Amino acid sequence: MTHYLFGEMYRTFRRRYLYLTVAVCGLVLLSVTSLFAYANSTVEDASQRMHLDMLLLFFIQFLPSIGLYFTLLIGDMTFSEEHKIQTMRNTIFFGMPRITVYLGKFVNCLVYCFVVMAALLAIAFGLGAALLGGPGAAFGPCFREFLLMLAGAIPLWIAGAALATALFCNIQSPTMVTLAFCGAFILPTNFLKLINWLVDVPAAAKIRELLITSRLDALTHGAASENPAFLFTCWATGLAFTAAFLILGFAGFSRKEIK
Amino acid sequence: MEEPVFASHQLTKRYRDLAVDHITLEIKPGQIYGLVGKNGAGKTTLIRMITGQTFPTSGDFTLFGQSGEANLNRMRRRIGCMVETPSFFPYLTAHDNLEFYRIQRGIPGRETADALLRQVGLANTGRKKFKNFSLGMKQRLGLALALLGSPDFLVLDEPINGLDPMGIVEFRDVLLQLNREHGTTILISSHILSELANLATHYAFVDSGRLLEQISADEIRAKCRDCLEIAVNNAPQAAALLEQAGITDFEVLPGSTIRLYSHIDDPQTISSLLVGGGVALLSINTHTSNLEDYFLNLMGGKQA
Repeated sequence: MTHYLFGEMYRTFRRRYLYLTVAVCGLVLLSVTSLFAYANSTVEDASQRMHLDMLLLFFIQFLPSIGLYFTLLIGDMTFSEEHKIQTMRNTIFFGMPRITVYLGKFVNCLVYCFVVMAALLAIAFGLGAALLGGPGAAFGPCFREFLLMLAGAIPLWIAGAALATALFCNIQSPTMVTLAFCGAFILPTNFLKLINWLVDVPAAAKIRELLITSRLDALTHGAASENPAFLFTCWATGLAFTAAFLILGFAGFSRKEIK
Repeated sequence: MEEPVFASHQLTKRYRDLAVDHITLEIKPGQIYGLVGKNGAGKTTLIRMITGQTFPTSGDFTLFGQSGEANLNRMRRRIGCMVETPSFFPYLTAHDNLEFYRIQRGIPGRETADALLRQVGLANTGRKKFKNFSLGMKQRLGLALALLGSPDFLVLDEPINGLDPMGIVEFRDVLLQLNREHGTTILISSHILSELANLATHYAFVDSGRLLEQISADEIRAKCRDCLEIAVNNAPQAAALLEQAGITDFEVLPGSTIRLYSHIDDPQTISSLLVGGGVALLSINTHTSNLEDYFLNLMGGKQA
């Protein structure tokens, strides 16, 4: 497994994809921070100006969902179109057990998610400090809420990475993977919402609460800061979905014909 | 008894139709085994099962005497493969592609990739990325990957497609050197039968997923010897005349045809002998045959 992981890293760190992803996301962060800085320049009252705290609130609002779909992008980077360019067989030829390949892809996906996310947060805070002038009065509580959001979102993002790995290992077309990934998160929530709206079924609402997207949505509304026990449910949900996605994905991949 | 490198027993793979149909085959250490068959005969499917890309529907096989998925995977570490057109990461150079697989497989030696690239004639590709390689260069890199880790058994599917004449000669030399100096066993499928004839020590002919024949190169050479093919009106009388003249290296075929393996450069003497003995000579031709003719005959004529 270690050799496999090192090999994957050797390849990924030699690919422009990783650096372009960080650069493009960095540019988006620069645009957002610049927008805040511009808004600050139009405000005369210094007490009304936005500080780094505002950037944290922005992250709490948007990062949970963005992070989930970001795992699809990282999954694509990790898998490197191995089915399409038919390089997976070179690994299989060597007798690498399929479980090693499968878990290796998953672990690599997590490593890149961590690396890219850490790089982007560093860029965001660096830009925030440079353009918005450092922490404001509400930085402490905002930072605490941000950390609680992260603590709850991480296991749910891990489940996203597990689904991305399962889909990329089993489906050849990246377009189909994208559709399946987005569909898996968007459709059940909305379907259950619709059922609940049409006929008041309490079970539908209960099931919807257990979904990854609902947990992430709750995190954006401060569920973790209001009730720290909510983090436990996030971890339980995240780990359950991770296990389910990994098992289902490997069931398909273990017998898949590798072209 | 020497353990076979590969042995299959009633190996079968079914998609919609039978792609491989109850093949029982054995490859011994040191053999260069030519797998011969038409397109769709089941050669690549058989190779895919050996390499672990797909699984048998029924039957089983061993590698170096080991069976069972976990053991087969362990034994596959002793195999080098090149199946169809080699595939690599298009955005990496030849060196980086090989280095990636070296690290992934845990093979020691940072100089390994460079040494292999020199061996296959790709030492000067520098920063050129795989996506810009010609088909011949891709084939050479595929061979380099197959040689990574000094395998005991090479499995090659159509390895010389796209190689120029010089490349084919170099490729053959590399394989023969590996076979002679290191005792590497080789399973090679190719449509270029003339080239296969320069390499193989044994052949397996397959058609419609079935194994038609396993035969050694020596046996084929014996069957494909040059000869005089003589059509006469009375074969027994002609045979008697030849024996009286002390000529014994011939065979009588159905349809009053005699194949004479001596006097190939002297058909006049033979025709005089037979005509003088009262045998009517219908035709006399020099007959040369090779692996291709043998294959075509086995397939039942030129439709192959």
